[in-house]
Amino acid sequence: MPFAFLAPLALAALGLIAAPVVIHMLRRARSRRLDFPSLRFLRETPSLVRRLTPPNRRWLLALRIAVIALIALAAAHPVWTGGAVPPGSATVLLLDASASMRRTETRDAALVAAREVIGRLGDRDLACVAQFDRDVVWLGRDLAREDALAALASYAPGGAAGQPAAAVALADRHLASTPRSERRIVLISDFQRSNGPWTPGVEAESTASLETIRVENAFGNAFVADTQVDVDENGERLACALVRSGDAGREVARIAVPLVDGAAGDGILVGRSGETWTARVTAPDGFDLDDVRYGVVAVRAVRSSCATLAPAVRFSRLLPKSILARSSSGSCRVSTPPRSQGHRSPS
Amino acid sequence: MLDPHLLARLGSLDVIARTIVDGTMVGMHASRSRGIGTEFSQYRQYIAGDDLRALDWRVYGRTDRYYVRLFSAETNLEATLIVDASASMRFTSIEISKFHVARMLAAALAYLLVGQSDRVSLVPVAGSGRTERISAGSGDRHLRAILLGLERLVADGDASLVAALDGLIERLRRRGPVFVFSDAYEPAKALVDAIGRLARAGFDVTLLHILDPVERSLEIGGDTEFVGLEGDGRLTADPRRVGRAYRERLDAHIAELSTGCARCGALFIPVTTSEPLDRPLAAALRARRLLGGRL
Repeated sequence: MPFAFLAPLALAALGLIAAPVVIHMLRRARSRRLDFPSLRFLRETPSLVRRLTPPNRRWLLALRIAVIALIALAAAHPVWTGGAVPPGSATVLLLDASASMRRTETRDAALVAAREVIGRLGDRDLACVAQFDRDVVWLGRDLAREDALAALASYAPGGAAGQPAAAVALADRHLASTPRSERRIVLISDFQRSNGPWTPGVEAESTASLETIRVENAFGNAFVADTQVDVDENGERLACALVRSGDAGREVARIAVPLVDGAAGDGILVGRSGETWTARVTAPDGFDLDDVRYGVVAVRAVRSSCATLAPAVRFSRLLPKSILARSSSGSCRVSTPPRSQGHRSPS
Repeated sequence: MLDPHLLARLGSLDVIARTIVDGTMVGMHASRSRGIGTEFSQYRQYIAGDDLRALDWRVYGRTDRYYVRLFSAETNLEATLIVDASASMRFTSIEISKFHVARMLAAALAYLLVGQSDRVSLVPVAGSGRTERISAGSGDRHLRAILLGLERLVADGDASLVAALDGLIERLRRRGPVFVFSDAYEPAKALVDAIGRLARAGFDVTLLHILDPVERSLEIGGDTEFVGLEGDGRLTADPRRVGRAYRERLDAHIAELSTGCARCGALFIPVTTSEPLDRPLAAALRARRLLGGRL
C-alpha cells in the first residue's frame, strides 16, 4: 500500500457506509399497497436485491457511500509513503549530547531511558539512534532492537549546546521517507537551559509523534561571561561572571580569581594556553562541566556578552514556548512558561 | 365537454343521464328524436339541438312557446345494458371509478332510449346492492326503475361476463342493441367469442371498454404491492420496471378485443374515466348509424 494512515482508528468510520445501504434497502422495501383491478398483466419484480438497481437510485447510493468513505479516509489522515507499508513502527531516538549531559549520572540516566525505549520495540519495529548538540550524529539507522541497543554504546555527549529543533527536524525528515504506519520520535534530554547559540524552532507539521523523556541534572548548566582583567594591589585578577542556569532560572555571580595558571575559586578554573588565558567552569563536585569550546573566553576581551542568544525557540506544537529576552544592560534573563505545562525548554 | 368529475357532482343519475344526453346531442347537432317513427305521440318543450322541423308552429302561435312533436316508433327497439359490477370496476386513481363511469353512461343511454320510446333492460354482472336484472320496459316509470337499479348497484365480487352474454341469447326474445360496460378483464378470446355468438344471433353488440388512466399507463412511483380486487392474489412490483411490459400486454389484450369485435360486427369503444363522457356516447351513436342501426 503506497500510503499509510496517521489516525487509523478513524477508519472505523467506514462502517458508517452500511448506513446508506440499509436506508436504501429499507426505503425500497417499504412498498405501498394498491388495490388493482387485475394482476393478469403484471409480473412480480424478480428479487429484492435486484430491485435495488434502478439507475437513478444506484447513483444516489454510490454517491452517499463515496461521501462517507471520503470523510472517513480524510479523518484517518492518510500520508503518501510511495510504497507498501511494512508492519511495525519506526522510532528515532534522539539523545541530547550537549555539555550538560556529560555528567555521569545524567548520561547514565539517558542511556537507561534509551534502553527502556528500545526494549519496548517489537520484532518488526525499526529504530534509529542519534545524538545531537549543535550537530546531529547518527549512531545507527533503521536498526533492529538488538542492534539499536548496541548502537547506544557510541553515545558520547560533547561540549556544545544542544539544538534539539534541528535534530527533531532531521528525524522527522527521515521518518517521512520510512514506510511505516506508526512513526515516532523520542527525545531524551535534561532540557537544560544554557547559553546560545539558539536556533529558531521548527514550525513544520510533523507526521510523527514526539515523546520527550527528561533525565535529571541536579547541577544545571554554567558558563563564564563578562570576563575582564583587573589590576590592583594584589596583582592581576580575572574578574568574570559565572552564569548558572537551572530549574530555578539563571543566576549570575561576580567572581574574581587571581590571574595565575591553575588558580581556582568559586567554580572558576583559570588556565593559560600560550598567550590566551582561559576560564572554565567547574562543578561543585569537581566535575569539569564545560569544555573549552563552551566556556572559554579570551582574557584580553574586555567584555563578552550574550549577544548570540536568539529570542525564542518554538519547537513545533509539541514543546512549549520559551521566551528569552535580553535586557538593555546586556545581562541575560530567562522567562519560562508555567511549570504545569510539563515541558522544559531545551538546551 | 362533459367532464366526468363535474357530472359526478350532479348526484342523481337521472340528472346526469339527461345532462349527458343533452350535451351529446348538442354536440352532434341532432335531436334525439329525429326521424323516429311517424305516429304522433306527444309534445315536448323544445331544447337546443332539437330538429327545427319538428317544431309545432301552431302551438307556438297559440302559446308563444316552442314545442316539438314526438312520434312513436313503428317498431320499438329492445336495448340491453350490461353493466359489469365486478370488484375490479371499483378501481379509481381519480375521483371517478370505472364503475361510476359505467353507471353514468348506462343511465345516459337508458334515458336516451326511453326518451325514444324504446324498451331497455338492465343486466348487472356480479355486484351487490339488491339490484337484479331489470327486464325490458319503456316509459318514465321504467326509466326510473333502471336509474334506481343503477344507483343501488355496488361493484363487488366476481362473475363471468362471458356467461352473462351467453345467457342473453336464450333469454331475450327480441334482437336489439346490447351495450356492454366493462373493463373486460376476462380472456379476450373467450369474450370475443361470446360477443361473436351474440352478433350471430342478431344482436348489435357495443363493448364500451372502460379503463382508469393509471390502470392504462401504470404510472405509479416506487415499489407497490398490488392486491387483486377480484381475489386474484397479490404481488409486489416496481411499476417503473414492469410498466413497459404491462402496457405491452394490456395493449395486446385491447387489440385482441378490438379486432375481435370488428371481426364479428360489434363495436369496440375504449373509454378512459378521465375523458369527457359525451365522446364515447357520441362515438357509439355515430357508429351505430354507420352500421345502419337506429341509434
